[in-house]
Amino acid sequence: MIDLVGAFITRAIDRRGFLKAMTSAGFSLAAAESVLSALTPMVNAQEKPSAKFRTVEGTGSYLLLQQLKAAGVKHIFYGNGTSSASMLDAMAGDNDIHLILGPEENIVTAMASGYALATNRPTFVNVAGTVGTAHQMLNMFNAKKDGVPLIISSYVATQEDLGRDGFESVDDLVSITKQFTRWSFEVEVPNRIPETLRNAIRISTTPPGGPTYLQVPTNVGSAHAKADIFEKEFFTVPIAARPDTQSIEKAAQLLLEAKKPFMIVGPEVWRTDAYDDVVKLAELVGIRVVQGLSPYTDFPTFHPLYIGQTERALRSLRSIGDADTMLNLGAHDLYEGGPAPMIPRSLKLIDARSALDEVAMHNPADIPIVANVRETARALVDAISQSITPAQKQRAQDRIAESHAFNEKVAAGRREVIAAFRDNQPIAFERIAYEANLALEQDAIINHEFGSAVPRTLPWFEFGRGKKELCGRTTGSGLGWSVGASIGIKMAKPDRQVVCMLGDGAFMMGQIEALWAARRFEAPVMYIVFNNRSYNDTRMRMTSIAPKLRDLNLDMGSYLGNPDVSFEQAAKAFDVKGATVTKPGELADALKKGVRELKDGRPFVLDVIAERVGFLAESTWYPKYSIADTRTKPI
Amino acid sequence: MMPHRETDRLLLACVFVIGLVATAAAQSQRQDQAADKTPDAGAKAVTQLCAGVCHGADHFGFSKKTPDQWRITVLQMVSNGAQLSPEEIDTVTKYLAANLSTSAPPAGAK
Repeated sequence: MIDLVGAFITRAIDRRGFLKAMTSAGFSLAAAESVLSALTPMVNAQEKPSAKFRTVEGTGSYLLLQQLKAAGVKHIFYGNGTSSASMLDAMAGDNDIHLILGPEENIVTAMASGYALATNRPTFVNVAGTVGTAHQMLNMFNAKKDGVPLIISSYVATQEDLGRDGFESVDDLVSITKQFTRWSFEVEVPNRIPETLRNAIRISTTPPGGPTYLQVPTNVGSAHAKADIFEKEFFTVPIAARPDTQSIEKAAQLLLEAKKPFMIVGPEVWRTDAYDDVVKLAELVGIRVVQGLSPYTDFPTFHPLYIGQTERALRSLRSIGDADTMLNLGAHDLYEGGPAPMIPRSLKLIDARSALDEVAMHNPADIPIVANVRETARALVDAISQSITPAQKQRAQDRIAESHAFNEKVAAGRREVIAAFRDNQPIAFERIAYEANLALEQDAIINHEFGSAVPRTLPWFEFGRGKKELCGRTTGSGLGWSVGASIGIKMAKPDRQVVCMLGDGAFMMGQIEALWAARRFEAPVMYIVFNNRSYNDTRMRMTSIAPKLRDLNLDMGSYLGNPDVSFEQAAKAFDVKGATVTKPGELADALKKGVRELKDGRPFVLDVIAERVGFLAESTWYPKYSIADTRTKPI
Repeated sequence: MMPHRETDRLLLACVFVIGLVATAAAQSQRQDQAADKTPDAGAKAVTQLCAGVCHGADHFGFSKKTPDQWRITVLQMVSNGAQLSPEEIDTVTKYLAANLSTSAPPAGAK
């Protein structure tokens, strides 16, 4: 009995466990509950409110580690370098934070970005000095465009040696990173490391979000100091601001009176968990929905009101050609238009976002709203629900039916496409995507690195809550992201199937060695390579705008064959299994093989020999230059 | 040093956009002129087809194809995002085949 009381007071067992043990010992339930009531005040007295901060002593790197842990960071994504020795020293024997090594800094930054994208939690990357930072800058750029909460640090030359053009050293690394980060700073004394780190986390996690960068001289990392370590709730700023009531009332009125409204949604919908509220809003008004530039699924693509995606311009979306009102909920501005307005002047614009400096940035808005996007969506639903008339409700239903009918026609058109291209060899992108949709888990997470191939692939999947979801492509569009990022996404979502689709050109943008990390960390990710031996996007675009290339039928720089790369063989070098598919009928079995490999806890590379499309698709010409031929002797 | 492919792509995309905008007015006039000379349904479908895809209407003038080849081209454009129903696919295919077949001179020939 004494042991049982002790176990309950120290929370070794819970209430249910205590009652069960008491009744098993022969006490009546009433008696057991009576004892429990008497013990409860003692249990409460054991719980003290958590301290706001604690003072810690150690090296600068030890202080860094303590503040990271207090911020809830569980992993350090790491690109190897001697200068990080003090950090690894501080980590030795600490099982609360894991070192995730990447074979190269750009890859490890992609891994961290994928993790940050999938969790929306502060994620820490450490790289070695100037050259490590130089390596990672592509994915620092991508992270800034994505607004992900990435905190990057690098250990650089000692303060005594800076400015001497020394080993792997430049005078001012912080200036170089400023364009690609929200904040870049050099920490000059060890006791300021936790404070600076907290600021970096705060900026990185506050809309618009994005990477921050800390430069730490190695002597500062190794020096001893004392500093206060704060728990995360004291320096992270949750943005749950509600929208202005008057703006909501005006916006609700505008939407109800609009003849043909549409809504464009973006990453702030996902980040504020506004998905369900946005669907509710769309259905209430009968408002067509466009997916804007985003790495996420912000609206279900199988919904009757979903009409397509665009990041650049609205002109490709037929059913909103005569729209009169646009609601932007958390999406980036459209950016294609040149001197012409990106949003036609005839459209009334309600621009609702979480980030103060992004609302009405490029397009003047009739109603600008700065607030948490979920709060805005909810407020609009409430306001509209209160004032919608029966006639307006009916109109909403009519719009839903009209949109559904249009979507059915477009879907029928797409079915013609798959029927026509089904047995193409090399294999059509459409067939690969179609088969992948059938073979993968219903709620798989899809990452990709497609550009103009998006409309040839993604529409074959159904994206939405409870179904497949997108996590990627990076909105930075810098190729060299998805292979590493998929590892980070799988770390974040271990119980979801994760599949990465990319072209051969993208895979060769410094990413093949990311398979080392996929194997080392046993990341069961499937990589489907749409291998058409071409930068298909650039060939199509260049021949459209370069008249001499077109007239002479020259594909100057996009053909990637000769050598014909085998990604299955490349994967073998990293002990990653794979398969090569050349016939469309082989796809289903190869995908099943990949799924089995994933279930066994291992990555898989599926190399699909795919068709090239567009002008000069059949060309295998390239400007020849042989270095061997420039020799004057066989050496 | 590796070529900056992504910078090139972005730059060329900008050039492409500026080129599109610069020719938009001229295209609009040509499309109106084209619409005057062709069956309404076909011209309208072509205009809609071109409206959001990667090039303008005069891009078609670069090619002469058989009807079967035009059908494949139109299906590829649908796959690239042109929002057409099966009936519209037929209309556009017939229009292009009638005006830009291998035995006819290209529309808007230079």
